[in-house]
Amino acid sequence: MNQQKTYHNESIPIIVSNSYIKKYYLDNRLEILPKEIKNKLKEVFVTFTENVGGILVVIFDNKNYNLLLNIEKNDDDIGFDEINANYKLSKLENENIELFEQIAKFCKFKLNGLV
Amino acid sequence: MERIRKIGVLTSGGDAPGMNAAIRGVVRCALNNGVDVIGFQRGFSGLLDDEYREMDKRSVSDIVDRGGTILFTSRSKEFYEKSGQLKAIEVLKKHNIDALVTLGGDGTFRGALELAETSKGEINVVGIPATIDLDIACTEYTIGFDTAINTAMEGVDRIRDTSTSHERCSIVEVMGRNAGYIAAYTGISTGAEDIIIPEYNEYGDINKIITRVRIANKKGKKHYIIINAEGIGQSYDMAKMIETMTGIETRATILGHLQRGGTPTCKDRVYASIMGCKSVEVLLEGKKNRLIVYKDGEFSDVDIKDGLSQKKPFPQYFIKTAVELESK
Repeated sequence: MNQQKTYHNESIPIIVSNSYIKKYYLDNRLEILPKEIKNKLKEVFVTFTENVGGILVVIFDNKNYNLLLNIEKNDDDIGFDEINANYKLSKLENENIELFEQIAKFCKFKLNGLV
Repeated sequence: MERIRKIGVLTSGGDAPGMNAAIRGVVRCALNNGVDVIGFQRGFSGLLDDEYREMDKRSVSDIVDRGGTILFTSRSKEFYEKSGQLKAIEVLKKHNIDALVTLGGDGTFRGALELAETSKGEINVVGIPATIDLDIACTEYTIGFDTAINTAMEGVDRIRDTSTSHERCSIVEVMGRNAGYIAAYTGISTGAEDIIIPEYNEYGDINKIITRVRIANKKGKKHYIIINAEGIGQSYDMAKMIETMTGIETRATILGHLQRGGTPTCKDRVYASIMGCKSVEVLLEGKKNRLIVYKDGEFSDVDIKDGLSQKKPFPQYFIKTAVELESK
């Protein structure tokens, strides 16, 4: 019997930026991050989806303890440029390596109830 | 074997609808058998403070249909310490109490058992399972569960109406502490699209839920109801995430303490009354440290220690049924 008392297993969505409905989500357990970090994250991800479109989902990989960034689109969004989006996503990851590593480290401890 | 002449009764921990019916069963049954009863107010705290009332037949008139507990309840940290236990024994001895009937959950029974052991057998205890969570493994029924699931079911039925009108996804959080029984019963009885319980996390993976919400929306479903157990929690955060990921308006409702209140159902009143009487019967038989249980269609009793050490897996047929009933 699985005794884990969370609603997710190894892939935990922690940040979402949705350009279609102009909404941004930050997992409530990350609310204790310093304001500057939270603002930086919001700026990075919202700016990305404003420019590229689609839905950016930041997932914490609870097996390998790193962040995975995925870009999704609505089915009816025929103008979405998937190749360009993924290229820009790689660029985003490279430009923010340190920040994402710090967030992943934080999630490793916070989301597993170690702090 | 010396016959009992006086007993104490108290309710401890979270209240549960049907507790009053059980108290009535204890008092009337005891008095009919020549046993005096005193009721301690506010659970173990009241016992420590020697807050009590003499119970007669009139004390329990017109209470069978009332929710809550006329003896009030509390959670007492002091009672679980050695000094608290010794103090409680002194109070019970002062009143010449032979046995203490306790209504509550497993925490209550652990405290009662400790009391009996600390008294070196001078105080006998009997437990009546009264918790809406149904999380005591040795019994298939606990007082208050039936009322709680009916209350939750009615609540979800109402939410479904507004959820459909707004074409939204609704997350309804129900009680149950770390057990998923209220969520499972509520989910199946209301035709909820998803049920998330602590005992079966695989089905409740948020990524899978989001996928199912999206698929349902594409198929033209006008609403999506998710029943979330208290043991999982985070309903507001979950709602925000689902809405941001899917673009579907999502709201969370926490039914909360609504589920603890209200007039008890027929089943809770009857079963509680039987368990109340059974507790006195067990004491008159000279049994020590027993827990009243309902198992295989029968009301019986087990040793408290044995009862508390039992474990029960979550019935798989609930999960299977919920999956089978899913609209694919």
